[in-house]
Amino acid sequence: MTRQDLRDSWARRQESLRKGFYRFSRNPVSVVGLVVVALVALVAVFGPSIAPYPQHARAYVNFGDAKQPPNRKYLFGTDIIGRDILSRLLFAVRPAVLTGVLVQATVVPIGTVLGMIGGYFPGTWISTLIMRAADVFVSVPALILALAVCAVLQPTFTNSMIAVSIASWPWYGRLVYGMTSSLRNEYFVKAAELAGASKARILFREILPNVVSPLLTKVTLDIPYVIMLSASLSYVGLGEQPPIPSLGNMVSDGVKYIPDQWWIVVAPALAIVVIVLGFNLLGDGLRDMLAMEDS
Amino acid sequence: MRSIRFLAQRLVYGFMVLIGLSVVIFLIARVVPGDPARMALGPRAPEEVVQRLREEMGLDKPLYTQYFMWAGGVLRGDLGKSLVTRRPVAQDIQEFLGATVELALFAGTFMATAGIAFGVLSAKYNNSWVDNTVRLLSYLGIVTPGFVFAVLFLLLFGYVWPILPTIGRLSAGIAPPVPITGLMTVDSLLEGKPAVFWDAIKHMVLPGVAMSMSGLAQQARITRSSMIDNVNKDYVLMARSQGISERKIFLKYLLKPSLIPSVSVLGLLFASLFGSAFLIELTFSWPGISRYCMNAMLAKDLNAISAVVLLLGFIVVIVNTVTDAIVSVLDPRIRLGQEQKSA
Amino acid sequence: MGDAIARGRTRYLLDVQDVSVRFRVYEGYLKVLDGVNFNVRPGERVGLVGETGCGKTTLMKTIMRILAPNAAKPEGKVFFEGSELLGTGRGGPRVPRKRAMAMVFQDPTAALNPVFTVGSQMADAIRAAIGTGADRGEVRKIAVDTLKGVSLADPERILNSYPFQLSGGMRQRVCIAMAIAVPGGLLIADEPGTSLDVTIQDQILRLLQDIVQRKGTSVILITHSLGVVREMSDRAYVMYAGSMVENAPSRELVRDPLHPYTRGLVVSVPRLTGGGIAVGISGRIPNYLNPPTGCRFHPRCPHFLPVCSQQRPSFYEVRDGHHVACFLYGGGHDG
Repeated sequence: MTRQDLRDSWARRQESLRKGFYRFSRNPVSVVGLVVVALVALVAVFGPSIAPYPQHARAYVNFGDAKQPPNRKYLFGTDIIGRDILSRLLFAVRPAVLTGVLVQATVVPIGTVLGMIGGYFPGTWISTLIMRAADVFVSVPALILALAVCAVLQPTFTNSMIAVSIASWPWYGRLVYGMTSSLRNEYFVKAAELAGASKARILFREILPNVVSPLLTKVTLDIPYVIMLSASLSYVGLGEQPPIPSLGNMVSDGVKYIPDQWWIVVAPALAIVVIVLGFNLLGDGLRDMLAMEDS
Repeated sequence: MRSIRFLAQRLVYGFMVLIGLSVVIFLIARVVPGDPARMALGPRAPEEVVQRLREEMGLDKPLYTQYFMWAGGVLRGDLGKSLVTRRPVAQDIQEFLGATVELALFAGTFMATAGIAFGVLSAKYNNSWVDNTVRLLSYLGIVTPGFVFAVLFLLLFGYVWPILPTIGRLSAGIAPPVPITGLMTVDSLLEGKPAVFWDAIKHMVLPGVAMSMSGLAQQARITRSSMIDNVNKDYVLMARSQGISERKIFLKYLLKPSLIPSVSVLGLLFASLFGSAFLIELTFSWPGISRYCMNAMLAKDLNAISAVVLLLGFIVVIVNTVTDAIVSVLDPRIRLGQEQKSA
Repeated sequence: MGDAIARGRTRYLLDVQDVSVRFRVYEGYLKVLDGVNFNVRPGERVGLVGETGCGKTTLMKTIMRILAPNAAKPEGKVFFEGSELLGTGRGGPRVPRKRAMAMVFQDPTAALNPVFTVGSQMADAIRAAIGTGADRGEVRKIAVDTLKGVSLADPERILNSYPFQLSGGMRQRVCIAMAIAVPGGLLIADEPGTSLDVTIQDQILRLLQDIVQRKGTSVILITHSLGVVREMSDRAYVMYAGSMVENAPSRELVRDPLHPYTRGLVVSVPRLTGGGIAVGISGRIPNYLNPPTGCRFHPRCPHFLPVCSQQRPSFYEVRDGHHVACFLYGGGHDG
């Protein structure tokens, strides 16, 4: 490939990306997703700073103001020991989003590398080991696995992220394994092998770029799944411990007081739905954009 | 005969996965920091007692010996003793398993039938308001975690319109049927008590539907997209061009091929039901293994935890094998192997 | 004049008059077919030549009334054996006699339902033609006979097989069999054999030839190969970007092409004798969202005249039986 060829292909890439962005912006649903995710990201970063009653997210009790429905002073009402739901919610968004992002940041590289190794060197003991391990982890429902791991370790926030990571990596491993296996036999890979390229180079320069597109789609669609998973974990008490608020533990607190103090449960539940919905819409939009770029 | 060989392969594979799973569980359980014997007996128990328990549990032997001891026990049906209740774990589980299985079966059936039905409807009336509504609802279904549905249902149907019970398996004052299968619905019918049957069903509705929502949504989506894909396939066009009736085209040329991806996914979805069962059971005070498991996890009752996870893995493997079998019946290409002769 | 037209109309087995078809897409309308005029006489073999994307298959689908759901209602008229087809709602050839038209699809693998046996599908097709109450044995017999008629050995085994168990050539023959199982007036063959080996393709084409001779059916043979057209058809149309540009007896068409596009096609066929590399036609097929005004070929035409971008040329009979739609040979209304 000449330099001019490289420049041409880069120009073409940019052009199709531009077209992709245009298409993306034409779809109102995806744009909504983008907006929601942007808002959520802002809240995750600045939430604690803008919360009206930040001290309510720590050990705080004020029975005088307890059980208040949403009003001017406490926009989402207060819980049974007088803490402002809105402030706690603003604090709770950060760990949720953090989990989503961090888990993906850990799981995707590890899963991808393992999957590539497994797919590129099939039949070797290391490949079989990796893939069988992935199969084993996949055969147990994710939540159960995460629960089991969490149960074995101390119920802390970090441990819940570890648990979710352990439950998530096999999906990436298998996806990449499948793709690598089929790509292995493509001509451009064989050409690189013949040219004497090192294994690592082939994996990272030839195979990886072709794997990126479906991987990216999966990643964006998985972030909300991870958020849901970690919310489920904290719902049963494995995650941030009280008094630190997390979306899941706020919901489980609130369930006890249905229906009289319904706002205690509805606020965090709605928050979860909105966050997950936003990421999903964004992910779908990205997927459509990337898919059309391929075809 | 190929199909039997295919099934046998899947079973063997599943079995190997189970073995792998058991190793992983075992290792996780043993990796736990802390001394299980000491934890079981509490900090005040004298050292000799703890030591005796250690020996009894085999904690002083090398890891692989411990594994084989445990695995051997499992195969015999002995899942060890619970450190909390002191009874054989198998016995504990038996009490609670029926409740969870029954709920899962209910949710699973509902999920499969409603999911496929909605998917088919949505595809048939593609781009109409029916389609758009189903798409929107299934999107919301996927996006909302199971426990949020549980809470929502609790609120809406337990309090706002209190038409369905929200706690437990039977109303207070109704005697449970003799536990033959562990499934109250079946048992009550076997005993000839339809009133109990209906009561049990009513109790299953809210938790069951909440549990199935996510899977239902995914099922509907996959069925829908698979049918829409097939609507434009050449063989459908050809059938139409041959003058074959629309009804036949729908049933034979659209439905059967579309069901293949749809059913394949059922296995996975059913497995995920057990995941969400956990939270749903807690919300509706359903006396299933989730409560048992929760206590076990809090008390670090390793035998119980391992047993439950292993059991669930087992159920998932069975379900997946059954699903594979059904798919191979539907799709002759899988059953008979793709022998592509060169064109 | 009206009488002659009326007489002309009844002479044709299939008469497509001024048919236009648009497809609704996100960005607007794809104007795929634009005023197509096309006809087939009884017993005639008509070739239809055009490059990929010119609308050949869409035209056939319009005739068979199996267009995709996003097609806007087609304009124009299609007469088959005297009855008009387009006016009567969508959904398959609902002509008075069923299965008077049959189509062999381009890709035999995609045309067969993968999860049912060949026999099952053939039975469906046969039943649709002769009546759903037909006796099973009778249907089976027809199927077996037809399979023998397309030179397939061991018809029983084939009927019990699934499509993926057969080779590409066999699948193509099965598709042909399904089309001719019940005798009809018209057979449409969409690029038969193009997805197969050249030798197999040759066999398939000869098979079609044979069938047509035996049964006296009319055939529309769609292809992108001028060689096939010359050998296998009596008369041929050349199609470009949604309308017909030339129509002549096949040999004459290849020997003496008049329309600049046809000339380009003939010249671009590489020859083993005579030396020189083949020349192509510059440019590409137009964007159907915003097709060129007037004659759709004008942007690529080496003999462009100003009128070409203003008006659409209509068919002009240059010689007996040889029609061209080009202002070089006579204008539409001014000519």
